[in-house]
Amino acid sequence: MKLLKSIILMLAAVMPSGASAFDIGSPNNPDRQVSVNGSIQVNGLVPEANDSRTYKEKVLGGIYANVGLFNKYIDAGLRVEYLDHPLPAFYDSPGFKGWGIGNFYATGKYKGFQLTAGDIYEQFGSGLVLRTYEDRALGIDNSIRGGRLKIDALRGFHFTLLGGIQRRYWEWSTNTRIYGADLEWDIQEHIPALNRHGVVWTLGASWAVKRERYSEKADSIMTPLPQINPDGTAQFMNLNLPRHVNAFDFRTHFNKGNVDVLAEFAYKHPDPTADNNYTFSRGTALLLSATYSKRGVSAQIQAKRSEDMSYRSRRAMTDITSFINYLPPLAYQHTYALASMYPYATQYAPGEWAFQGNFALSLKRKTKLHLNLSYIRGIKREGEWQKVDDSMYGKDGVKTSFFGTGPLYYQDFNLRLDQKVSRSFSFNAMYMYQRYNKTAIEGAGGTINTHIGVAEAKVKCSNKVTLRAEIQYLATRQDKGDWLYGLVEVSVLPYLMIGASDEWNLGNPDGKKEHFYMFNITGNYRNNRLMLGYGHTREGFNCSGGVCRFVPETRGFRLSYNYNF
Amino acid sequence: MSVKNSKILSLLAAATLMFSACEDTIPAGNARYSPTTPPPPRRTVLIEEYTGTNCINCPNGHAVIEVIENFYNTPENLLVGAGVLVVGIHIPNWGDPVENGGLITPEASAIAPDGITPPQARINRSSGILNRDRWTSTTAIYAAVAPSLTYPEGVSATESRDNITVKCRVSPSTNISDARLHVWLVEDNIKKRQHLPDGSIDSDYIHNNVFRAAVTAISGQAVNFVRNTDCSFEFNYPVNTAWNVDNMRAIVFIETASTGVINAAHGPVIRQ
Repeated sequence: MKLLKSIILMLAAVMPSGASAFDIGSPNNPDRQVSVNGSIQVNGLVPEANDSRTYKEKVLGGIYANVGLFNKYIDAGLRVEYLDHPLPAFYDSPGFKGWGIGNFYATGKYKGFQLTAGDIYEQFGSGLVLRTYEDRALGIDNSIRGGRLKIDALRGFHFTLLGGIQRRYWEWSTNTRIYGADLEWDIQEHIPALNRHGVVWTLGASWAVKRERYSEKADSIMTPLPQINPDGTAQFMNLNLPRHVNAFDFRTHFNKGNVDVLAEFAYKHPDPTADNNYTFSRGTALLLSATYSKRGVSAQIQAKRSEDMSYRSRRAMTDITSFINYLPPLAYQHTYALASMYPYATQYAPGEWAFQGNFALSLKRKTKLHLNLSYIRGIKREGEWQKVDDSMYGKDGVKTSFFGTGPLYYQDFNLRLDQKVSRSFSFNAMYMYQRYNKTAIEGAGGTINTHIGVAEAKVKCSNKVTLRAEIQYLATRQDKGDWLYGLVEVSVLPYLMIGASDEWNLGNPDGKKEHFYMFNITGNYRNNRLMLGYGHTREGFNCSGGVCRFVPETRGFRLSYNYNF
Repeated sequence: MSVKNSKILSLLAAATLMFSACEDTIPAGNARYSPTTPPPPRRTVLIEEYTGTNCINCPNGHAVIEVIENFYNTPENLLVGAGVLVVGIHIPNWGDPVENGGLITPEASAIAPDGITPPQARINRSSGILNRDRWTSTTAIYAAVAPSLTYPEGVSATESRDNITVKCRVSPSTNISDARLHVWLVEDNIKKRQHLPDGSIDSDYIHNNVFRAAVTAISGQAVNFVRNTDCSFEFNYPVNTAWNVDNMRAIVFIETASTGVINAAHGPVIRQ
């Protein structure tokens, strides 16, 4: 706590002045200017007892405080985190609780060369073999602590080399080393004809390797089902696991005028992990994307096939942590409450065939139409995918068909209309039809079919006062039945916003027709934002980019504070 | 491209290729396995298996548990009070509560940590929550540890006039302070539906080791032991009409915060 207080006092000394830039040398020398940026984020909950659980603490929450110094030649920063009494979504995650410096780095920059020591966030291409990032809402920070070299000194070439150990909450996995390299070539820089025709064409290649060593006793993986010897006796077997697992990525990205095309292929060496029942199968991912856009109209279609592309720094991990790579979900990320009730989580290990289309059209009278289609199925394989299949330990895995598809995982059709009626009145309306295979995604629950309707209106009552209202309805015969949602929000510029919402499970077949409500007041003043609220939130999944975390039901007072400088 | 630039590129490419040369030769067939024989158990290990009738992967977990039980619970091991004791704790949201004819008891909801995704287990209250890929190897590690207390007469459980009486004698070989003693009742051979991995439902699935009740408080009973001084305990608990007493067993285990479960024992409930 003393360290935390010291950091906060240091930041407080900087805060009143807002964004700061100061010279450390000659005031006329911009090369010596150093700018300071940072932020403080506080989330708190005073939980009340509910049917699902109670907490021994009176207050739960988390504090993030980070500061960065930026200069022409050097960047440096650190982030302090206090998560000793985390919010309910993270409360039962082993290892999440803790506090300290969760992130620090220093980067030297000179003439197209960048060398970083510390915690690194990086992505190769679309992330199919390497992506390290932070997502606080999901409690993900899989940064690599080590070193990175970036070279942009050669015209048209961009090279990255990195290595280190990966973070999982307050542990840095010293048993596993991760190394990677990425090279991108902007072809148009070396073929003038392409440049003259406005073509941007990139070729890229990436490589990543994890070196995971284990102590024979503590980390050994023993076949749960013993082999039967010819004499009828049972013999347990330890798996001889590969110490190095390589992954490769190749991609091309073409852009000319209104057209943009991406093709990317990734391949992973055999990687026996808990995700794939410790099989020695190879992983592949293929991603295709084509976009056309011009004033008033845009269209994007995407296709992805992935199989056994769960690439982690800890082979026995099965939660949402320790991923080295990332597979985009090709499912629309909804922000409306009921539309996001059944979010899709990317199926890394069993794999999937995913298709998505996004279309937008601007019509007369400030009318916009948006159409999104997502269709995701499993891979066709011999037998059904079993998340837990101990007979597969050490095997090659089952045969799969490249073009064949398996069971439906997720389907989403949504059509949205945005209409600006006048300077003071606009509304949005959306219809959505969704099919969600809860058994495949969550483990049980069957397939849930939903029809969802949303209407949202915004009225500008005066120069300072805006009123926003939403009403949503979800109709389904499965799971917990129908839901009705309503929200009213009043904004008084520039300082205040007051909101109230209620989510009512009016169609619950068990008769438990609960209301999940929220009241909140948000104030903004200069760089400060403070939200106070009280509410009862339902359990569910919080998803971002196809990665989902379970959030339990909660009730109580909430606080959220943000300061940026 | 200048000569200097091409040299830099060549060096970078060579460095990358060098790194990518670090890969293991993937073994084939039997080379992927090394035979291993877990050492003989020296005590009885407690496995709390978190499961559910709606959990499609749990039958595979049950299969692993059965293998572990068959391996460790041999007559020779049981004679010396060694082996494994499994308690199947049916957790909320993965089945029906007992009041609706299911197997989820209110106490089980309090025993199991939140955020469980079955099939998972906790072994000897020391391992943390494990997926089934670690059950076999972790059990082997814990079973090989000599215990600092034993149950010389095992556990005696009798039923009379709708009341179950559980007795046991504990013999410590060292001083043990701040220990917690737990007495649970489990039932075997319960026929209830179970979701299967292929998506079907088996209405006649046989559930064993099902947690039925905690005789002591959820947190256990505080006890302290003096070296070489035996202690005897007796507990009573009313029979629930939903139980089949003939298929029930009483389980006793003693734990400390630092060591986890020191040793466990069980005994069948005998009607008098």
